[in-house]
Amino acid sequence: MASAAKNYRDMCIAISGLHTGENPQPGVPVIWSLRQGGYEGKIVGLVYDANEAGIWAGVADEVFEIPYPSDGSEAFLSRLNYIRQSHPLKVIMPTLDSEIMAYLRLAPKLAEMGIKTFLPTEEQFKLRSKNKLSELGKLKKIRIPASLNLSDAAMVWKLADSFSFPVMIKGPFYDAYKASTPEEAEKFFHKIRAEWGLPVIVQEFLAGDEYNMVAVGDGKGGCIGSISMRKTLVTAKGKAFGGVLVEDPELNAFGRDVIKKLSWRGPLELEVLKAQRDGAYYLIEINPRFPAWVRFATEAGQNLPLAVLKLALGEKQPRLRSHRKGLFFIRHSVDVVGDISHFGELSSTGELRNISMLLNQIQSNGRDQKALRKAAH
Amino acid sequence: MKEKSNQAQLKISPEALERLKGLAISESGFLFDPITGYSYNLNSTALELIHLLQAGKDRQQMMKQMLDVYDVHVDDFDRDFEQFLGLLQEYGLLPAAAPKKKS
Repeated sequence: MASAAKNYRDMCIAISGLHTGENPQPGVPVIWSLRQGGYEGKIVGLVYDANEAGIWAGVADEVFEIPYPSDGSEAFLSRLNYIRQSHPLKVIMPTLDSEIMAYLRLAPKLAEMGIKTFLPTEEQFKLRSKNKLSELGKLKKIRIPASLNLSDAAMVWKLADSFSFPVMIKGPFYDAYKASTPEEAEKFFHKIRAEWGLPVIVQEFLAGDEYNMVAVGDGKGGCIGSISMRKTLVTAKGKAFGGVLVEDPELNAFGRDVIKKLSWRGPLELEVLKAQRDGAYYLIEINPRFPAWVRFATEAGQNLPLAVLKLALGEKQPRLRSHRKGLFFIRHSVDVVGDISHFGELSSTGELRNISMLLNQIQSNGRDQKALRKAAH
Repeated sequence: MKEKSNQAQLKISPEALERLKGLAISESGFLFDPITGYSYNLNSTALELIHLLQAGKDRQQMMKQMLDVYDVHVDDFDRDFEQFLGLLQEYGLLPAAAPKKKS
């Protein structure tokens, strides 16, 4: 594997999104992939809360709490400067939707600090937002289900003029509901507006199979690598809990075409639907980051997180190809155990160092006690 | 003459043959379609038929092989085989047959 040629032993990078659980974030599988690809440098986890389970799974070497993007760039930069005093970060890989814009706006400051990222441009990022998807379709000639932004509940009652029910009612960031009547559509409009704000998006409902693709764009129209899957198990929120690898040349071509037309730079997840009515693929959504199932790509032979690290560092990254077929994944939840004093330390000081050593201590203490009990018998 | 007759009975187009060859089928009858991500369980007869289809056998050859092994009447074979092809098409494992041209 070419990726193992360089071990980056003296490097220090930061990765966010360590929450795992019912709706896991991509940080843990991104770190896992980097380690799998031979990355031996230090990994700092950037977390918002001591309850992010990935902290206690011991995947990051150290973790630091950071302010939420909504707290503003000054608070974030100040925290970053503090972290840099002990950890000369070379690359940051943000993995959450809500963070990307903040990192894009801070790019010049980060560059001054010598911190690299590999993210889309602000224009690309904005164009893929849910409320612009229809515009994107027209502008770039990408097949997208008909959609309309609603700014007022009264608009729901005029939907029948241009849409046939059922329709999808979607939030600007998260959530999507299928509404079979205008009454239902109005109910979901209010629900989404209360939680996520405006606009609420109404989208033509297309019956068919949904597929997800994870890919990395090189920023020049090329695609560094991609794999696609069909969800076989979903959570109550429709998130993948299991999936199967698919290899449809038509789907691959569709995904590559989207990346090319956007000249997308960085990781992304495409949500695509193969419509029953015409057998054609339609773009449903673009998520501007790795999905939580990105480890699946690594297992299939395409270490996309490692590719992003290399691209951020300005290294050459050849096109990746899968070398394993016929794979499926099922998410496995486990309980991780920590020492409450470490939890307290992270909560009160906002940082925790040498995590693997601390977790090893807990495990060896457990083993010692077991041995003591055995000896007492 | 015989060759021509067999050709006339060849139901599987090159496109369909390519599609069938792309299916991953285990000896236990587990069929995985890598294009759609769907999987199916085949019984032993279906497994045998799909292997014959993948091998590019024409209908006549398949019928001969099945009739040699199983105690089945030609009419029953015809009906069951049509039904089987219909199922493969319904699940998208075989492209739908092109409408016959009028002579």
